[in-house]
Amino acid sequence: MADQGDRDAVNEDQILGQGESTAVTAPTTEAANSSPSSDTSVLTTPQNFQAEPDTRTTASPAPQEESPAEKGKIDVLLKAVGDAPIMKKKKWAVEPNKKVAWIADFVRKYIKCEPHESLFLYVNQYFSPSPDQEIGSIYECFGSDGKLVLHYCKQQAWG
Amino acid sequence: MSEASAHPEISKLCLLEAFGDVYMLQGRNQLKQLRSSLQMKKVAFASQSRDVLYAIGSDLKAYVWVSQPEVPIRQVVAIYENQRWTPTRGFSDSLLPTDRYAWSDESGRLHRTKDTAGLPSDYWRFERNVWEIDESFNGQLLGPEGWNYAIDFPATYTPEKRWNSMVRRRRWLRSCRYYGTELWAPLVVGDPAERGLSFIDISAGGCDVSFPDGHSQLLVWAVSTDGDIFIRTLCNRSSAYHGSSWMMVNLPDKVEVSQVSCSPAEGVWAVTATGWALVRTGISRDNQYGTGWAMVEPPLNGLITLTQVAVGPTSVWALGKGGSVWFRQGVKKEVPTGVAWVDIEWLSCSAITVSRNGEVFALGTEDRQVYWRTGVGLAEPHGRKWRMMGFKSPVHLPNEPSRILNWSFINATAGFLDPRSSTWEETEEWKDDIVEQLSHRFEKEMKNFSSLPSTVERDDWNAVADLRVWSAKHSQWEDCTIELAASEFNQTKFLIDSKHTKESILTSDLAAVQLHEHPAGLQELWVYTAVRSGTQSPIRLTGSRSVVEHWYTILSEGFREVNGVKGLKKEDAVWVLSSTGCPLVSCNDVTSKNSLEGVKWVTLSGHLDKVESASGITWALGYDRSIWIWTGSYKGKLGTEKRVQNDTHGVETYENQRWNPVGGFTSHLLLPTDRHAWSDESGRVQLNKDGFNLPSVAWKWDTDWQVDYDNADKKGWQYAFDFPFAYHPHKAMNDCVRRRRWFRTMKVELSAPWLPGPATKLRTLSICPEVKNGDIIPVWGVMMDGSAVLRDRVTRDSPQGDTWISVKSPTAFVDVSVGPHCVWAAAVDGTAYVRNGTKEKMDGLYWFQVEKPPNGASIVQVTVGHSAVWALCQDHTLWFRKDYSASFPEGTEWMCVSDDVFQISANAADQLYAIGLSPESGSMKTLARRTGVVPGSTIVSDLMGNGWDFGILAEHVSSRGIVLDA
Amino acid sequence: MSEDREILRELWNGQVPVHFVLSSEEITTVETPQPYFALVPRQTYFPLCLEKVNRHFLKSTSHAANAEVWLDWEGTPLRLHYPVGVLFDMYANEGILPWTVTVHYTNFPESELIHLPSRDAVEAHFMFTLKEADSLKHKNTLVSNMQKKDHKQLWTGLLNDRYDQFWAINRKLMETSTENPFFRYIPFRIYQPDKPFIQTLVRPVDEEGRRLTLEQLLKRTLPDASDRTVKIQGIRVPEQTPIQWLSEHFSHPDNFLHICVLDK
Repeated sequence: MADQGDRDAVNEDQILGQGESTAVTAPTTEAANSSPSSDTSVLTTPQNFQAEPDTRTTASPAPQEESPAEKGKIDVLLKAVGDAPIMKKKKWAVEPNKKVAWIADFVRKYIKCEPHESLFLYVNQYFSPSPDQEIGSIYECFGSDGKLVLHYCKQQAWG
Repeated sequence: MSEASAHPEISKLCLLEAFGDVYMLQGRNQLKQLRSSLQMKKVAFASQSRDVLYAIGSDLKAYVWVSQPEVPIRQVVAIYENQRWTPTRGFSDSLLPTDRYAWSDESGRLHRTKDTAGLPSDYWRFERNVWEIDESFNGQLLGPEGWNYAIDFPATYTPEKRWNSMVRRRRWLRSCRYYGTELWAPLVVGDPAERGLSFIDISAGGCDVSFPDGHSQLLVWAVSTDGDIFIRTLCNRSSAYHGSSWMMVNLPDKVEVSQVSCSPAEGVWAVTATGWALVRTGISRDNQYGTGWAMVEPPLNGLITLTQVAVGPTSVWALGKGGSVWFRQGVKKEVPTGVAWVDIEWLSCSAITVSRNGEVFALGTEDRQVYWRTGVGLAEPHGRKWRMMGFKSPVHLPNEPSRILNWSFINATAGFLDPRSSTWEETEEWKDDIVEQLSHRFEKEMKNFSSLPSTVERDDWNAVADLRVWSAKHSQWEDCTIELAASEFNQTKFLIDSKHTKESILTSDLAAVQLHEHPAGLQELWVYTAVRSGTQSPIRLTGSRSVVEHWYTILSEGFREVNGVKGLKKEDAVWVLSSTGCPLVSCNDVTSKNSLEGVKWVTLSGHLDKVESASGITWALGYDRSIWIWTGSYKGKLGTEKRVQNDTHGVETYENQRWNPVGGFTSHLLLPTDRHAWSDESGRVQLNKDGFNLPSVAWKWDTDWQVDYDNADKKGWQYAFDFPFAYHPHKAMNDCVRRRRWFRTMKVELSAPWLPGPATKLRTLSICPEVKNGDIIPVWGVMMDGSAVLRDRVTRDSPQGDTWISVKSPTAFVDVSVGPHCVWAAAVDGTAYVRNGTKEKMDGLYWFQVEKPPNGASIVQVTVGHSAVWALCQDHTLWFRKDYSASFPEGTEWMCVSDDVFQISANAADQLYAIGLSPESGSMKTLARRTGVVPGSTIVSDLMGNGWDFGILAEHVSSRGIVLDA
Repeated sequence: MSEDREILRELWNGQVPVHFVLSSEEITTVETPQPYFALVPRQTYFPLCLEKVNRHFLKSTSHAANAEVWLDWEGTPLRLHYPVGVLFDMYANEGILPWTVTVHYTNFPESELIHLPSRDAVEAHFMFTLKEADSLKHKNTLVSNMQKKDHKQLWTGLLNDRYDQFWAINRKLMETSTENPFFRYIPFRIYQPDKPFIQTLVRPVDEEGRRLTLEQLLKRTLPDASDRTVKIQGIRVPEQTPIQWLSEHFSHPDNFLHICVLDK
């Protein structure tokens, strides 16, 4: 599902190492909410989790790497925790109505998770949002500096 | 002491809007506008018990607003008719040239006739067209002619003509009533010199000051346009708060005043034209107006010019030019000027005020909104932050939205406000709605399906608990367990197991469940069962507070489940109050039972001192003397009849000391035979200040410990030769001991089925029994000052009635009882009075005085049955009035019945219920009923009965709902 | 105020009458099994309380023993990670009571429902929702500073229907001070039929310090709600109710206000 051609596109975000906080900020959507600090958490999905498909479009396009936030998409920054492989491209523009489950599924495929392995996603490094929650509402509540940071890992990290 | 805001219409503070309209903040934060065409510039909130405000109008004159009182304000205008005896004409109005006028005032110097005797002002009107002769003098009844005789004017007057009585006089009375309520009345100007006075500021305090003779008064200070400062004398109720005249107070040389503030307690500060503060010194109990002034430099060594000062009960705040806010640190009784100014940050204020209970409010300069200072308390007297309070204006027109008003002035001196409490909400309507909906939800989703099993195992409580049970046989407390178990009959069973006691009680066995409080803070749970080997002693349990209270709730609920609510709406139930003020109602037929043992009692919620139930309505009085009316139901599961009842209760303790040559008075060297250093009044029970616990979680402390200065010296001490002798305020030569009374009030707020009754406080009340459905029920009461009143238009459908009717009486009363034919009352002098003619006219026709019982004891209580009247004396003796009948209600003589009686209640079935001591209960007051009574009989011994039958422990009983079956 | 305490208790004790029917696809016996009627607490989650239901239907189907149960109402699969009360208010709305729900043991609708196969899974979901609410209410999260045993006590309190046990810890999450009488943001979710839920940031006070009411919250998040039925905990909460109070008293054990907006 990842967009092949964009992997090698030069983008400062891709060069960042694991666990460092982002220095670069994307063209800003108005940072409307003073939400909690930029710590991020990972979403856990139970063992047998399967993503809910996006029912709106049949062939769901990959999130675009150009992040024109004006188009209404949300910048999601994915950070690895523990022994989870770091995604080469961490920053993705996602349509707000996509569910958390869809993101988790996307990450699993991207990092080539085995079917028996779990993937946990966290917000604020504190809690795992419900898989059927829309990413847009999570961004509204917990996004900062124009993006939503999500941590992912293969084991339970927090809670 | 504190007026528990029992009623939603209690005012909290007053606000002045930019255009000059005055608003009162009431009850649940609603604003009520005082409608008037006058515009005001300053306003002062003077009294909360009946809204009294003072104001300065745009015409710079002083005004007073008195809200509609429950009992009209009256004055009696008196004139004297004077006569001298001559051999030729006997007593006549032909007097000596040196005598006073034939018609005069009391002093005799002013000529006052029936036509010229004036009303105090335009707002007073005479109530009746005729003058009436005063038939009493100093509490004694005179003849209908009302003459008092003496040797000469003026001398000692006596009712009987003596051999040397040469003059006589009698007093003519005409009462007038104040009609200037609910409007701004200009303060009466006595002296012509006062007419020219114009004012720029006014402040009214003193609502919490206790005056020596018990009469309350407001302390009103005002500042004139010339910068002089005045006091308004005699601002009391009988002058309708107009006071009598302005008295100028001397200021230091060349000082002009621009603003003044008077504390609800003691304290007066003012601001001078140059921005300094002035503090009134020399204020004492004997002189509330003080003797001198002290100057206080403004903040920052005089850099700031003060513009306003506000004095609270214990604190002083001020505003500087430019809106800065300052707190005066260190203000104490010993240091009335305080010590230093503290800068209070961040809000620029245009007005500031301190409420009666010390809360601070201010108006923001720019937004003109009301701010409250959070966190003001003992630890942080200048509080922490300013928080805005939004009060919306009342809606006048249907489509007009309520708007935020702009305020120009605020005053809360007499207001009792508690912004911290959870009831400080704009309106709780939504909560009532929620509660009601939850009740419907329960009905719809659970009650109708109660037979279904639940997917969870539900047990709300621990089935077993550890307590201690009293073993009468061994006279000691034993450890026990109490357990809830299911029984065969689909009931719950309570098992109490201890070393010597094994009880198994079914909920159907329970006769009553009571919770008792001891002064030292322990709680006991008393369980009465219907079948217990002839004795009335209940099972007594004690333990940790929360466990005891918990099981009390469980047992009460179990009891209610079995006995249901059927019994409660019956008109002939007997009501009692337990020692914790908790009402219990009999729920099975009391009259048919031979003994009170078989009676079952349901516990209701409430905290009350007196209850009276008759003719289908039930009224009660809290400890703070507020009236409450029963809603007719009991506290059910979030029923729609939920109400809140609150009450205040005072506790006291005495600090005792003995004098010794070395250290003077001290509590350390009390003799072994003396009482404890801290004790109750009798001295027998030790009562340390910190040994007082609140009876339950529903209670909170309302005030801190305070010294009682009544009849004591400046520090509150009373001296005596020894304990206990006559105590007096000044140390005499051979006084070796002294004591000081401390008191404190607690407040309770309960979810209880009582509606607030009329806002007047009563000493006692009585409801006429046997009134038929639809008829008006006479309800009589005695007000706090002893005057008798009658509540008009009380019916079963409208138990509140309409207004109070004052009943003219020759003396002050302590008790009243209304029967079908007449009204009996107990007077302060210990005699009794009978009011007859109540069948012809609701408030009756004449009072007759009845003598004290033969032993000379003072009558303190009376109760009227159908064919009998009973009286209770101060020495706890009970007397029966012989030969009472409808046509001869005053009877002939008193017959002694019994002693050790504490309260009585007779009913229309001629039964007498009382509170007395039973041989088994020792010194604990018990419900009792007179045995051997034959109702309706004409034989005295049949009506007096021959003995007592005892029931549960109680402090108070009302049995007047019981009537004779036709 | 004592009334508030009574309201908390009443909400905790609330139960709904459910009529469990075994799906015809599951029946492996000749006779159709009797339905199972029960009162189910509003505050719990279905996967926690179906033990008796399963035992009842065990006789009639070969799958019940270790299969994952799922429920549907009139064809709509029920989201088992929502509290029972929320599902009831959404679907049973004003219909005949008891609420009829069909029990399945096979053909789990993977595309529509999330698996909560074990009690632990429900616990994890519950705790995460609680933490999410905590992040919204408090700048510095409280749950993270609690001991593990307190977390456990919240869960077991909910699981075993122990009000005192649960609230002994939960009250700390509902506390405010005179200094700071409001939560940072109010945790709430607005549910509508066939739509994803709405969750946004709403403060309980406006800039001038005035309490926000339910009416204002709905105006900001779902303007057309004024014409529709709005239910929380099964009742039509009055519009003027302050949302701070609602959050403190009407939240589910997960500390969220679950608001159902239904077509009239």
